[in-house]
Amino acid sequence: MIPPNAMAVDTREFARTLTYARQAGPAEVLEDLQTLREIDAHSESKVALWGTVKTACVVAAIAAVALGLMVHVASGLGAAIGFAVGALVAQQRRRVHARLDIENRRYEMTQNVVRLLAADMAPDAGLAVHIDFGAADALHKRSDSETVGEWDVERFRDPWLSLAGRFVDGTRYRVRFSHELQKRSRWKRSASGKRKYKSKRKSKNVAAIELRPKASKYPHLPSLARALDETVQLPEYAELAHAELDGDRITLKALVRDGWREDGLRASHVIAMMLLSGYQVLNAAKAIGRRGHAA
Amino acid sequence: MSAGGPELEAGAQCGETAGFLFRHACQRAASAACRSCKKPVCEEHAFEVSGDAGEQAGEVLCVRCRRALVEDDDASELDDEFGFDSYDPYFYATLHYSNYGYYGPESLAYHDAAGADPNDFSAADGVSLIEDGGDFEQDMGAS
Repeated sequence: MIPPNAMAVDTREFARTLTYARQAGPAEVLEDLQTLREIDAHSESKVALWGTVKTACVVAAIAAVALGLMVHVASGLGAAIGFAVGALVAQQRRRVHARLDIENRRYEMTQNVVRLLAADMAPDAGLAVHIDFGAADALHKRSDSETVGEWDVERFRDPWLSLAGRFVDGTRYRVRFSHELQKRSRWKRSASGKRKYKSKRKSKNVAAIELRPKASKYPHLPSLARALDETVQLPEYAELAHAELDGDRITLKALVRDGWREDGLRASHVIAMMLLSGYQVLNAAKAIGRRGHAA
Repeated sequence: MSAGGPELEAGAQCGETAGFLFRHACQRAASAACRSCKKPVCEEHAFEVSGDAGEQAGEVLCVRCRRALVEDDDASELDDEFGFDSYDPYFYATLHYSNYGYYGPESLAYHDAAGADPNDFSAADGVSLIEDGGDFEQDMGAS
């Protein structure tokens, strides 16, 4: 059992790191994820509010200049400056809250997965959770950069989710999800001689699971190594990238096409299907043992 | 939650064994008894019945009895009519993974090297059939 870590969501610390990490029971983790959802909802409403205030201040500043020109220039300019300062303050406030306007699907997907994992965990078992809500193109996530033809290419690797724990049958599991991003940019000179900046992005999501059962419980597991691929069932928007049964360890990796639903259901469904695929093999290994005893 | 449902023995443990990936005993205390099979179930494994169609509100079904309903009905209809969650851990395999938990003769459990049926034909048997009785395949008159 993983020793519990008492740290729940500390809003100030979370705002600084944009990372949630905890070792606790599924119920506590789900509670924390609910807190993150509330923080996000609060931030989203504040971002919208300060965005409206900023727009109103800009409109009012323009109106004040126009009115000042028609009626009284000094008063008009004074009011316009006041509104411009208001717009800057609103912009600043908006930026502060925008930092905590995190990607919904990251906590929603994690909630879905934790809920599934909890169904096969002992009530007092813990799991280690690590979620990085930071931007995928943060500098520290850049894996390499190069020039390809006229393009400057930057590649980023964002392994934003890691979940690890143990099921009630003693099998250790690890679930990972990462976002891999490629940014390309270049300056192009148009026919008129103007320099134009062009950029494009493409990305992929990689889901991975690892199951490490107790070897004594599944002695026939190694004999199923060749059958692993055919056991994997994934939804149509995911593609198996790697399947390996090495000794007593099952590893599956799948590519999840970008554009997965906002609620994170698609990505959690891929992980659920990968876990079921892995356990289909484990349960088959058990069935071989039972058949052997029966014979 | 047991209001209106079958009597629940004091201190009863949850008798449900359903999981997401595999079956296992539940370690939680029961909070109600299944309306259909009378099995004691915890809150996690209890599904409140809708109260429609003559059902008494407050009664619960265990996972297995609820699953029997799902297997009889179209899950999408259940989604619409009862707010059924087809991504519920206890119904996930049934609804999304075809043949989950099937380890019969056509399953991979029968195709592994270690677990091969010792009485089944092998490639060597094919050779011996030809060697021992070369005309066997062509003997149309054999009964």
